[in-house]
Amino acid sequence: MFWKRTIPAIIVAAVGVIMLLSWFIPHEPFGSLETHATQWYDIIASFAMILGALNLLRLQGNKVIKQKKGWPYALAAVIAFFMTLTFGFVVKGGFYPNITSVGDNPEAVYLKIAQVIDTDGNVSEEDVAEVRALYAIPGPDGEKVLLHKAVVSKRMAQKVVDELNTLGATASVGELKWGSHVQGNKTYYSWVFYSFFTPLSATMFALLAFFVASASYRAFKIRNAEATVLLVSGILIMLGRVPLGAYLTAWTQNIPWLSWFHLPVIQEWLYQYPNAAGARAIMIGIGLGIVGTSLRVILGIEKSFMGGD
Amino acid sequence: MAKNRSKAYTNLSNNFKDILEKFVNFLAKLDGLDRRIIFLIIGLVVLFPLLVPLGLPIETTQLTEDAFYAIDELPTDAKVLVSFEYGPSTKPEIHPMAISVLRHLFSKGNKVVVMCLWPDGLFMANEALDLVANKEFGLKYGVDYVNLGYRPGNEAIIKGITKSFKANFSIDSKGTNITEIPIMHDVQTAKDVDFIFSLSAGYPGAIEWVLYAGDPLQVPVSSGNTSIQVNQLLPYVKSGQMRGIVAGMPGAAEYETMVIRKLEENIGPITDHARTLLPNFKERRNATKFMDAQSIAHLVIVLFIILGNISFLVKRKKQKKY
Amino acid sequence: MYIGILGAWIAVFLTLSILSYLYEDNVFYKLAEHIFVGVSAAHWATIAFWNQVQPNLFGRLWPQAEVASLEGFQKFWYGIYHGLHAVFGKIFPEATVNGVLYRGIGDQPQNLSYLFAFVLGVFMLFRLIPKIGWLSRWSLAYVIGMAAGLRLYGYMSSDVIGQVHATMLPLWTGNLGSSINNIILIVGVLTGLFYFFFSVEHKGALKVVSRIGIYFLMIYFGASFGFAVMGRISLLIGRFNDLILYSGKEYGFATPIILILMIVVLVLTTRKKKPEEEV
Repeated sequence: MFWKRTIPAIIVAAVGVIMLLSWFIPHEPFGSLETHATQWYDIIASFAMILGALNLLRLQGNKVIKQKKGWPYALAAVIAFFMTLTFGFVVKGGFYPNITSVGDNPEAVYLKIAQVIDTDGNVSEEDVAEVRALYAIPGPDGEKVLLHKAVVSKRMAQKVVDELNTLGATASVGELKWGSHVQGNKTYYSWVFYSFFTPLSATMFALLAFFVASASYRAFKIRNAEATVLLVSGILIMLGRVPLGAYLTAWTQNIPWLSWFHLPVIQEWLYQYPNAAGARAIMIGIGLGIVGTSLRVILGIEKSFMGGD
Repeated sequence: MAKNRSKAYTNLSNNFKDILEKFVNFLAKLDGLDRRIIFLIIGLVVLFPLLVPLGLPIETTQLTEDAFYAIDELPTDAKVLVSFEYGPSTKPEIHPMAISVLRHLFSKGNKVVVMCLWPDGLFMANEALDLVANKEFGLKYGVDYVNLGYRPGNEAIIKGITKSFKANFSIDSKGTNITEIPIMHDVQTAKDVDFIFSLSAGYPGAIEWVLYAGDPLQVPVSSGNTSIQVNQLLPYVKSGQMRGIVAGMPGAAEYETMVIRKLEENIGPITDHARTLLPNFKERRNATKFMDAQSIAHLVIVLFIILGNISFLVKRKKQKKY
Repeated sequence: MYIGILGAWIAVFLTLSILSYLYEDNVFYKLAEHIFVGVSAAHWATIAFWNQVQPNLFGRLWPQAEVASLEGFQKFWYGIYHGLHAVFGKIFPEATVNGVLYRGIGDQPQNLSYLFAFVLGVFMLFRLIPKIGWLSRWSLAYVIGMAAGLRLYGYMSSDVIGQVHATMLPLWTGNLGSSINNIILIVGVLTGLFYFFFSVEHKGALKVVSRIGIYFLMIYFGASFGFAVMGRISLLIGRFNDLILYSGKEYGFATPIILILMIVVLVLTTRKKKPEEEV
């Protein structure tokens, strides 16, 4: 009990009080305590994300090994998981030719660069002029050449470097460091992010557009006065916030006594005043709730986060 | 003859009643319309204006104007912290405003410190900076702008940078030590920036910036948000804790319009290079292009709601009758 | 961001697979859903590791140091780093600059107290092992204590006091329009708050106050609904825009080809199911 419940309660109380006092006492030791305490929080939060990943692997892996219902899909999840991890920790990409000097034959070098960088395949005079402006005077650490490829391996970068060196430039293969490769260009990881994660994540949310429309049609009924107010408010916001609403009632702007009936004007008033009043009431209520719950947690009254024994 | 006329009227009246009854039955049946038909209509209604743009004019609203002028009134040597808290799922709404805000800031010659509280925000930040800072403005990394990268920890990071950037961002997104980055020499804490702009799709986001940085340090905060979050943030705007909001895709379209208007009408400080980019800005404004589809889709959903209610009322009346 | 033809075909396939759920739950949707689960879990863990654990944790335990200058405990401590480098070279790099060997990550000042953070982090992972899973409560307690302490002040100051202060508006501003607006704001906030006050029974005059509050809240919910619709439609527009982009020659007409194939497969699968169901 002591190790499982009392120690966590002490930790919660101690950390909570330190954080609270640090709002009021910026001096030492609270100043540096607070800085390091937030850093520890970040680190533990990171481990929580790693825990989530491992837990998923355990659940899906279990399904595959025991060949439970739907195990082929679980296998797909596991393969996708390991593919992403491989590109995060094993295979990087993210190489690039780095030019430190264009040499004695700059125009040939500029043409070569224009051919290999992000273009639609047709090299024009404007493209070469752009390249000239960027690469004529390379910086102290050189200038990167971003090849028109989804991912650039060491071999691809080396090939272009050899061609540039043959033309008289001084180039070498540069690479993104491990760590910055997860957010860099032309890496395997960024390719997975844009080819897999982005379309999946975005489409999952976009699906809701259809369900919102269907739900609006089926469930949004005028059953009583409150529902009517809700409906009218929603419709005014939906039409008043888009150009079509302004376009449909633009004619009212020419008649002084009707100008108030311009949809964007009605919408703006409704949004800024009655709606803001409701929003503020809810915000104050939620704020008081959070303050109350935080106090309960710090004082040890709320222990549900510990779970059962 | 009078008898024939009367018979004709009676037949006409009966026919009309039949048609009306059939129509009323049809409206009552509409209540059980297969939802896949609704999905198909929504799909077509969103797709069509993307292929055939209507070019509806954009009218700006108070909230977006407040955010725009809050940034426009900053002195040219002001440093602005732009935080990316969105991912690919909300990119269509927030990315266009991210690009517009960066264009606005760089057109005025402001310096920008970028950081991310969402891991996906990192990719979005790189994309936006690559387009605007690199390709459009040709700015120098580390001098005119910097991308500090992502750190997990949510509001703890915000709280942390109110004391020290270095403690929380020892290296930037490229792995360079923060002490070696010229733009960060004068920026030790969040108090050293003149404005905070949060591009946020949820938690952590604009609310956390107000709670843990804007209010305690009295640094002005504004934000660009998804439409869903906007209503939650309105009380902060009304109370002056935030300077306007760029609300969803319509807000992004309004901001794009205001940036272009600024350059066209030569309002406020504008760098020479920014003036040459006006045709570019006019061509590449995604949010404005998408507003036609947004408008038509909204109209269709409103019509669906009205139709659904007519059907519901007709059905209820029929049930009461029997 | 250029993702190449293969990337475009994968993106289109996954997008259309998710959208196929609108027709009915099917094999394409289930496959895409599971791939999403696998990729996102790995993605979040990878990003958290490279952006936080490696530079901020390991970087504070072993900041970059010149090997030749290490003595005593530091020599032993960096010896451990060298061992880790032998196994996980990418995570624990060593570098030779101008002939000088360096070990370590970044230049944060060394702070060995971060070993406690490391231990708490590892305790978090013990949640996977039922026998010692209770140790994760210590890590959780730390996280919750931090969050409670941070939020208590933050929300009290900004959400409660800040908003109450902002509601204290003049009833008469000299202008009829803005005075009415101020009155609406004040009445709306007070009645809306009163609706949630359950310590007193809502009857008589109090019932009227409560009902006024409900109407203000309904306006808020209606507006929130309108914004929710706006947000979702915006996301759909983004997806359709990408599908249009990937339907071009540059990407091998990915969208129309995959769409037609998917429709054919789904129709055939539905037809095959129906006769079996009839039997």
